[in-house]
Amino acid sequence: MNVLENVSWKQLGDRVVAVDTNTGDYYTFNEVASTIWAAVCDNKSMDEIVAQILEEYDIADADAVRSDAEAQIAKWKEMNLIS
Amino acid sequence: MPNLMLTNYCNYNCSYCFGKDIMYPKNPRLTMTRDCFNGIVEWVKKGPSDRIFHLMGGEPTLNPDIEWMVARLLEESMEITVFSNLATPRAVELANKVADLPVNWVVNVNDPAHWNSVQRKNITAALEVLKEKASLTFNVMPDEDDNMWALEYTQRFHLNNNIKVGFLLPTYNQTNMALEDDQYAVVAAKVTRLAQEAAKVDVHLDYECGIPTCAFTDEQLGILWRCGSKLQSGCQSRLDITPDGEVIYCLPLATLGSKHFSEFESYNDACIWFEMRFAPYRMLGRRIECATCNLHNSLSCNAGCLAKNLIDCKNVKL
Repeated sequence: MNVLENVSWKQLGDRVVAVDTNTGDYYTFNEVASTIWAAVCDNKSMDEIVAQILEEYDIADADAVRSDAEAQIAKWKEMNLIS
Repeated sequence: MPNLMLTNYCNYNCSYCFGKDIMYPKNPRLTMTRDCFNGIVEWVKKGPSDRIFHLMGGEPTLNPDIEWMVARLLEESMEITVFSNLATPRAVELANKVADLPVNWVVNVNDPAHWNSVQRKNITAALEVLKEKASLTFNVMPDEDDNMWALEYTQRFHLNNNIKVGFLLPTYNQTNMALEDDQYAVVAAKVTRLAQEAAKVDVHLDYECGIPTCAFTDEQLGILWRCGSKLQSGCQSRLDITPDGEVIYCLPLATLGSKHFSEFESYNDACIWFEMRFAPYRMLGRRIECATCNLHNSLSCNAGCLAKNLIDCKNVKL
């Protein structure tokens, strides 16, 4: 997974803000989505992303986290933010 | 119309200079030639725009052709503002020659407590002849005394009664000294006190670009408004052109990209080109609160300095 070249972003506190420089569309991600985004940018695998979320947010249900993370990443692909 | 950078050399070497990314000695020394200057003037005349040229540096009076350049612009009935520290002998000479002509001066100064005897002699000699043609501008330092000297100088030399103040802002490459985030409130308080004292002597404050509205409390913003020194939180209005004819968005963002002026049909085309490329980045803001800030979303506040806001931003390119 890679962030597309037309997407610029920055971390502001515990959130990520991103902008599609082609369209001007602007996004603010919630805290968990920001964590997933940062993990994607660090080229982490889905297993690593799930492990990180479980640890940072003290969640027990790994299947639910994986499902949510995959859905989030699929949505970003649809939005042409990542490939 | 553009800010023309007549040279990237300066007789000062201020640690906070927001042009440092492209200034001498970190970069080769450049001086705008008459040919380049003429080319820019003709290029600017092609498109509709105001007739105001800003001549800046570095220290613009260190360009040996500045007098010729001023005369050239006056021939074209252009309005001229020279941005100078007035500390060079050449500045005093030029000030004397153009004092009665339609040439305004924006005088970049540090606290006079830091001037040496030669600088003091030149600056005061120039201010004495320029009078209301000159207005002071300076950065408000977090760790220095309040800037009442500016009011004293404005009155003593009968200068323009608008003083422009700025915050120390970083270049994109962070090669200069800039405010830490927690120092914004300190400087905002100093600016507010200065505005209050200034109002008592009919002097008002203007603001350099890049100051975020939220640096000030609501009470401070009210005080500024009542003092006739209402905060304008802008960011960029004119493009800069370097001594070798490269158009840049502004000095702090100079290293992000440039295009030679001849690549644009007109100055207005250059403005549109740069604005379109930087507009999306403005959305990113300075703090997460910018995303839901009415001032930011209504473009009443640009969230401070774009160069500062882009420093930690990934995938920035023109």
